[in-house]
Amino acid sequence: MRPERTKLLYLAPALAWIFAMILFPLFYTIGISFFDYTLGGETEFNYGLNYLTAVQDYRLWNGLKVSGVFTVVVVSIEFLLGLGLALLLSGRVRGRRTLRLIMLIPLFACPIAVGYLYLMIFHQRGPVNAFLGLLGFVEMPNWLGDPSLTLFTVGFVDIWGWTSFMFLILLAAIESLPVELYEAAQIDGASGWLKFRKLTFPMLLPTILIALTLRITDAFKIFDIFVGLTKGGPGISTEVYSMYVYRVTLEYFKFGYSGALSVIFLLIMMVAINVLFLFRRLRKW
Amino acid sequence: MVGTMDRLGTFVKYAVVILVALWVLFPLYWVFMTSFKYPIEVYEPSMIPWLQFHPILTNWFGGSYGEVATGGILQQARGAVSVEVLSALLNSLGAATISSFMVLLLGIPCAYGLARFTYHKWKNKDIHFFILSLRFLPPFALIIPFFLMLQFGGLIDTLPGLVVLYTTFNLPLGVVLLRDMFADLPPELEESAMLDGDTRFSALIRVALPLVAPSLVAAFLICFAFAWNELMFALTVTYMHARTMPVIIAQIETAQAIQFWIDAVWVILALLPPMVVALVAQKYIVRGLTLGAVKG
Repeated sequence: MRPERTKLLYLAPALAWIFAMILFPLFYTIGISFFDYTLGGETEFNYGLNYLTAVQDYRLWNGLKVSGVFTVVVVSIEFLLGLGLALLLSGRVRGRRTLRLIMLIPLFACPIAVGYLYLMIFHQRGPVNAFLGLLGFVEMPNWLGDPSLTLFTVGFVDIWGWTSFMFLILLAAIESLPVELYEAAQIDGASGWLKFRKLTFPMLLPTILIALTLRITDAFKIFDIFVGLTKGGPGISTEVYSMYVYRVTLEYFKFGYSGALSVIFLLIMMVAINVLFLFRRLRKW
Repeated sequence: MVGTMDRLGTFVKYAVVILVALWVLFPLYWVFMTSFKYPIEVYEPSMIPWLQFHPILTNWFGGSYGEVATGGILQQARGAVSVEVLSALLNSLGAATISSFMVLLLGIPCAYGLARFTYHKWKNKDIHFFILSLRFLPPFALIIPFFLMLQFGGLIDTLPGLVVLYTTFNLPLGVVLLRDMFADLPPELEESAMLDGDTRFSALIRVALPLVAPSLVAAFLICFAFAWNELMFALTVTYMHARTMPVIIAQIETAQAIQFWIDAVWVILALLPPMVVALVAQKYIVRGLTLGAVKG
């Protein structure tokens, strides 16, 4: 056998699996998005009618809005908290190793279980409200029943879980920065803020960009903790995009329409990722 | 003056460390304590066992709560660890373990090829990027074809069905992680083994694999944890026999009045295995979560 062919044999099993189990299904979804395809109904090509329906569907816009607002708010807070903590705790702080270990825990915590866990924490008679009672509050907030609070509550839970992610990544990056540059800046008498602005931040930017890209794309397709905490309610005030598509598929059985919703989401994701990487190209890293 | 500022800075740092640790650990501690409380106590803000409440194991394994707690009526309570839940735990364990092995089996040759050979028609970088980009796919875009494919194969609500889906779900991550591990390994050892008569493949098996063994374990564990935690696919393709632990939790009916003392046990059972994984594979986790982009 020619060596070129042998080399391909190494890739073959995994790539074949990916083609059969990811690309083929993906094209199937794109395909059915052009059909009127529901459980029990006739399957007919409908010339993109699903897409026309989609842009007029207030629940789609609601889902985009909920997912979008959620993503922007939680990722910003996670980023700022994570960066702040990493900057504060880089270098020699006692207990830092233990803290790193503790911060790993939420990263692998089963998200649906975390959702239920916080159902207990934010329950009307749970520990959060008990604490507020100690502080002298009388009117307890209904964290998961009040439409103006629920998204905030779920956001809090996400921040609990994923600030760790930002912290650990940025801490690892900060600790791998070259010490010599800082020593030089020290000799030149640069202030802490100047060192951050001129040295730390620019050198961290590639890592920050990766961390943000991963977090943004993950938060935008979030599903699990909303299932645990709100099931989209009250009403549809916390129905994230993933949950809406899930319902269209497995509760309303509109498969063609679900396909169109998936394709729209994929397009948005592609634009978002390209925008994020545009920054990278502009700065020529 | 400088001394005071330094001491203040140190104090602030320690205060932050302690606060953050408490903030992460408190919810977990709370759910643990809830699982050891009498049902009537779950809304009490008590959290120190023996001092503030009497811890019991009845919520876990069933039995009687005793006369005091039930107002004189002795009732046999069903524990949270029922046959149903044990079978869900076994399903989770089986699906996560077998699928992670499958990922290694399929992923190792591919990762090795990408790390060691140069491909021409499709460049290594492009293949790598293509595999990376699969991570951004939202799972809901695949649930209809996945359901139909499993139905076609008679695999709905079966463990093999879950294994197929989780292998798919983790394979891109597995390949990317393993590729980095092989790329970090100096090629000379395999080359000298090949001079001694090994083929490329036997050099991979005999020389390279043992050297990356710790990384392999880490990749396996990371895949295991992701499969264990997965919800949407499991919710789509299982309904009775192959339900996983996350599905059990997602299907807790709020209608039958939430039984926090029972739910707490289930939550702990779902949380524990991946947490153990996180602690065992700690060195590799940042790498795993950033697809190798950041080496923590």
